[in-house]
Amino acid sequence: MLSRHADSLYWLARYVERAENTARLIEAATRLSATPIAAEGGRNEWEMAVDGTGTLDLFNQQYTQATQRTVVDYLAFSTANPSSIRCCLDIARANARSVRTALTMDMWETINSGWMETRGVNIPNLTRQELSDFLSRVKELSLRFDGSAYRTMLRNDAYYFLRLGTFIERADFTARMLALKADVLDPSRPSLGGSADYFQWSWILRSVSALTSYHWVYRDNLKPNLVAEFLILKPEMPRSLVSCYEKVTLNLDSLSRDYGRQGASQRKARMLLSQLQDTSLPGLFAIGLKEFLESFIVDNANLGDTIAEQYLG
Amino acid sequence: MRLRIRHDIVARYDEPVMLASRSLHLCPRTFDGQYVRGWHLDITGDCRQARTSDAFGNIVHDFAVEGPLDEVAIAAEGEVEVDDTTGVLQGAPLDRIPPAVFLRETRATSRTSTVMSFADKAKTLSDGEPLDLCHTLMHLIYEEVEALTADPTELCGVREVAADTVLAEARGTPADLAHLFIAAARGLSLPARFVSGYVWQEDATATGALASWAEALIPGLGWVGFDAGNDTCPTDAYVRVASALDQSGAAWIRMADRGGVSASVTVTVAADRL
Repeated sequence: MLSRHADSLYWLARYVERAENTARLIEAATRLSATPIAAEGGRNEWEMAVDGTGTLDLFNQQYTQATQRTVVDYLAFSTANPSSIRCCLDIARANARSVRTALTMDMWETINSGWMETRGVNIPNLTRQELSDFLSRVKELSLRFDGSAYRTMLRNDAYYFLRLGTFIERADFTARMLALKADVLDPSRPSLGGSADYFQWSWILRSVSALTSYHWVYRDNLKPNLVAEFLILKPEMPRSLVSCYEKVTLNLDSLSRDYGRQGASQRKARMLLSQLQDTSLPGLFAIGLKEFLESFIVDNANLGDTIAEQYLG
Repeated sequence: MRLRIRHDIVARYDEPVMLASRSLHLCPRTFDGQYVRGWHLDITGDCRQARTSDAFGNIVHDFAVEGPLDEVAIAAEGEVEVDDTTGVLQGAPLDRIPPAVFLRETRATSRTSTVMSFADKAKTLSDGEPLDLCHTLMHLIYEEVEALTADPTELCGVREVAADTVLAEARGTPADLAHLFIAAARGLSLPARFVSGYVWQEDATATGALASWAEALIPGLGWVGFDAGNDTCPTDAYVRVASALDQSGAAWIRMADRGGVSASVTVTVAADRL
């Protein structure tokens, strides 16, 4: 396979995943802004949502204030933000077009029709309902794309590159959401009291659609240390860091098996996977959750670069 | 090196067994330098496999099957990709307990005067640095102690022959050789531990793929493997499964039965290069 094609597939999957994640982030922020703790503290939930995508500086250059209107505009529609949902879908579709022959009919249809649908949104006069519909459509696009890849694609290098993109992006997002709230997840920190903590913890889980599954696994109230454990160390949680890395390593291994040679990215992924598998919850808090997550985000980005160097260059 | 491994342990009974319980160290872990792509255990009879990990970070499977059964068969099978790290365990992922614990004496690794004088001999032959010391010790064991094939006791249970007996007889199974290495290294204040695993060889016998070696903690490097039976540090042909103070802690299988007259236990292992 041409490295150019591998590159397009990898980034296609990353951008579709990123669009979905951003949609979930906006939904979670909308919900948090309607809760009683919204007014407390110096930092509002909208600014936090932008910070979660790691582009706060870019946002501040373009807007003076973080409100629902400006943040939704920035995260969902802005053409000046390369990670806005609109830009993500534009890039995803452009990538999909360039590897049209490597995709199945269903995948192409999903991307193309989803892209056309979301283009039709009339931004300035968006009602709350219309915004919610828009976000649902984005999530649906991603789910259909994922599902049609799973169901219809041949299991060869094209599939592996696509999956790699999905899981690297997913791990990045989960880690960012946790890092954003690392301070409220530290069990030794004094409680804010009342329902404030609950809203913070449920916000994290909602932003990665994990609130219900949390209750399935723990059958307990939200506890900060369990939230951290759930999203970092639980292999049965498909968005947890360890689960993402199991898939990243597996797909990289499939590539090395089919190509008959392995390299730096396989070694790096295995090392990160074994570190995650060997980490325990007390160990996590001993290192410091924020430090752990920040170094994970850097390691994950490094792995992305290594994959690019090895296969996509 | 990519290896497919299949390890069978079949116990047959003349009179049916009513309850057979087993504790297994048959599952390798992923770490830097070793990737377990797929691994599964097949067990005859319906039972619940409890998967836990022990204090050393090894994966342990426990189960009990109710009889009457004429046969209890266990098969561990999987695919592992190994990198050559010249024996150095990179990243030291499995360290949950302080290294000083690995200076402890156990029955199989007792430090008698003969073991100590053997260790001192290695020390005088080497340049005194821990890494060279361990290599010298490995060579010395390889030269002075004849390596036998694995004994049934260590294939399906515990082998506890003291290190000085091994020295006195000048021959030993792979586990014996590892115990001697460990006893001597600990005598020289180097933390050392026992490791069980698989090794790929061109012309292996039915159980030739089962391997036992020792690891010593070298300052600045971390844990480094030494296979005295083959006079080599583990290469990419070695799959690391479990580690402990000695073979009794990392035994492939520990069994206890209620009822039943045991006829035989057959062990076969195949390691194929993919």
